[in-house]
Amino acid sequence: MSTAPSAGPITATGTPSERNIDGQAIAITVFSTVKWWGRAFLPVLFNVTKRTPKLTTTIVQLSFIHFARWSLVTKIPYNGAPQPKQRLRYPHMYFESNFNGGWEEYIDAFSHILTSGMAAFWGSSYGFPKALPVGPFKAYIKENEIANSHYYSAYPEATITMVKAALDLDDKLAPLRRSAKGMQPDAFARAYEKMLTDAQRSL
Amino acid sequence: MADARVHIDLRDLQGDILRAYGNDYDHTSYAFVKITCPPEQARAWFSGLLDHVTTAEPWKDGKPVTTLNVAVTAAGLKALGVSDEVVASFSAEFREGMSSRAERLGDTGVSDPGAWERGLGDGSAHVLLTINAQEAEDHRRALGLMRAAMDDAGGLEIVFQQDTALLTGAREHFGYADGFAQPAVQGASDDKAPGGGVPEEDGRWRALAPGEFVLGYPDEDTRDDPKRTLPNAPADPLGKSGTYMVWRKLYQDVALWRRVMADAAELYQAGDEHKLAAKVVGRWTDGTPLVTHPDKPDPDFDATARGANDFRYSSDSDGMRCPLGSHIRRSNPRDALGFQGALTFRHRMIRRGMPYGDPLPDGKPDDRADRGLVFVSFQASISRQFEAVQMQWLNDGNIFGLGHDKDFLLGDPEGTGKMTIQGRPPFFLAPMEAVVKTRGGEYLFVPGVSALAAIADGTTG
Amino acid sequence: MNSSNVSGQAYGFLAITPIKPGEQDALRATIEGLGATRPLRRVKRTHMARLVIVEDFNHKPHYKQRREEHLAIPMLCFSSNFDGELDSYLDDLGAQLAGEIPEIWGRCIGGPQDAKGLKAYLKHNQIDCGFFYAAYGQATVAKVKASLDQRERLMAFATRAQGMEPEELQEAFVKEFPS
Repeated sequence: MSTAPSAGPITATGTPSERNIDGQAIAITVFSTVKWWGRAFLPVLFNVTKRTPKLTTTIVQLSFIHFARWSLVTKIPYNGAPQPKQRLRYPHMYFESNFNGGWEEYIDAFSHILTSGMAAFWGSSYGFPKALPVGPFKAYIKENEIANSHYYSAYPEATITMVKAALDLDDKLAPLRRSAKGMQPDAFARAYEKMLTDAQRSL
Repeated sequence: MADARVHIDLRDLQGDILRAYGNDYDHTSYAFVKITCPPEQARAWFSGLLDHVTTAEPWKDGKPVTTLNVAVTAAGLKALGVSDEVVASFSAEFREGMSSRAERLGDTGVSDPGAWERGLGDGSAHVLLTINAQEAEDHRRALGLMRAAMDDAGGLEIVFQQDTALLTGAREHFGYADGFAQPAVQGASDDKAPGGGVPEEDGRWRALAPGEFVLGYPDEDTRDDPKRTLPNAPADPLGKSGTYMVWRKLYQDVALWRRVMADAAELYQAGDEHKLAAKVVGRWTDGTPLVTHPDKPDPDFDATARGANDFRYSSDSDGMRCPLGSHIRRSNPRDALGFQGALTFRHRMIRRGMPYGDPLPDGKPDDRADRGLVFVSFQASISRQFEAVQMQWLNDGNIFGLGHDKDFLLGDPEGTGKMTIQGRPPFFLAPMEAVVKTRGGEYLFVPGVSALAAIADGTTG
Repeated sequence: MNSSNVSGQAYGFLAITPIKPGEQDALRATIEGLGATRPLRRVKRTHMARLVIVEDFNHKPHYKQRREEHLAIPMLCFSSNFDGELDSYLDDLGAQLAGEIPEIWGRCIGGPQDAKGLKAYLKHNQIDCGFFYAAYGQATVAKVKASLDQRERLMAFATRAQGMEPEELQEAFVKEFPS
């Protein structure tokens, strides 16, 4: 039994380039070349995904992604000379994700949890090795990822879970903020305690 | 009970990895040796150690009076003459060393490597000799033999030594039963699967693939892969039956811990500081888990009994019994993160800690003595296992929906952040000063027995 | 307007523009330097945005792609996730980044030298989304930031207020969280 060489492994805590990070937020940008059948298949997939919120339930539950985007590039806009006119032979897929620091620790989990979703979105891309096993999948992402030159987040220290907790808390705190002033102290104390009890998952 | 499908070559594996010595040996010393002589001379000494190394083979004639185990740092491999090319095949974090990873580990401020004890984290630790002994006298004799062998060889120096001894009742200094919850390993401890393995949807548990802890075997990623692409490991022959080891000396400020709990409890459930402390830890002092016994410890709880750790968190998803941010729930969340454990099962490690220093008796004022825990863990990947747990589960609360709150027990040199104790209403512990401080540490590699011989012979390729 | 670019009230914008020959290094230096000034913070509707230089498509022998396809010219990608609709955002972007425009899109073929031309240029080079995911597409940047701040303050308050009598509690709460 021989052991595989550890040539250029992507460590779980591998630090992405500094310019792909703003506080907790990390940017990933990937271009992949799409096989001929993806030209018809991907727009259908995008449409179905859009219309079927259930398909993104897992992404919502995983709570690692602020914003993510898949775009199919089939032609390159022309801006006059000296830009060469280029007719694309293949479609190319642009993918961007704005996710939490810490995602890399769970990239294994993504392969296990989102196995079929990843296969659907990247299965028509050249070189996609399947989401499992994790090793080749990580290598694929790494070799297709493009380093950012600049990345900006308006609230760099907040993770997606924190943003959602803060928004949820606002819903629960707002009524008490409105009514606090006019209440009897004892009634206020009870309402305050109830608010904390109801909102504790966000605290 | 072993899984017949997986055969682990126990003769080639060093002892104390898959099976704990802790309960068999009261005394443990960790000696970090610096090599100042040429590699050939060091290898001659190293070679002399090999006959004494304790393997994982079952003991036929009862347990040995003393045991010896050997681990090396990246600098140590070089000092023993292992080529740069072979050293480069080890993982990046091992080569960089623990002190270089201080920021991500939270070893900053008072835990900064600059303030560590001499000999740790400064590149001088090359070889770690771990000696276990049943009796104090055996312990002294074994240490004497170790030093004599070093003196004979010459060009070797102990740059740091930590002696440790079990405390009464296998407790750590804060008073908690410790070290009995370990991952169940396929082919080695399948019977520990309930509570120790991966929680499955049907209520059962399965033991983890051995490659999570011992290199050269299939891991959780490759266990079902017919092609058996094995996990990343150093170039053969070093890759076989080896594992990575994390060694940390963690100082515990017992007086501060007791004071913080007593002060905070004044506002908590009629001053019940034992319950408050249990909420922070996730277990009562005897080890009874809070998730099964939220109100008081189970008088019949036996930490070593089969099934003592057979519990889950899914029935307590709001943390009313065991707080979402309690120490044991963070360090091993089991099914707490959902997805049938998929977010947790690649982040397990085998822990072999030992307390050091004399206990501070209850009610005694702070004596400022050095006491704490030697934390040891074994894992196939330091970054995926130890570092991920340290960074994502202990030093950050995001995955548990707790923002940037850190583990309240381990804390952080820069302060812990608050802790929410879920309840009706919830209770909030104000941020406190760190009660645990890092005094030093090293990333090491524990070679298999044949790999040790290859190092000694200078035939590592 | 293509509705694929929208999720809730959030808009996902992408424009790919060709970099003038000989300008790539200068452009890269400029945008790599933006980390120091973070000019996008002036465009207050921006949640997250990036500037990326794409030199070519990626190929590897083991991808078994029959014919390799290369980008004819390196491109600049500008992507932004922001609040509300596109036109007024691009107006705001132009106004707030007036000083940076010549250094960024001014180095792209056909690109503007001032705020005026930016909107038309970026819209001409826009690539529509196929699928846009936003975790909290209903919440604006302002709302997110205010809520995050409020959460921090409530956690500190709740810790400090433990053990207060009702009257004191109410007074402190009203002071900390006015209606």
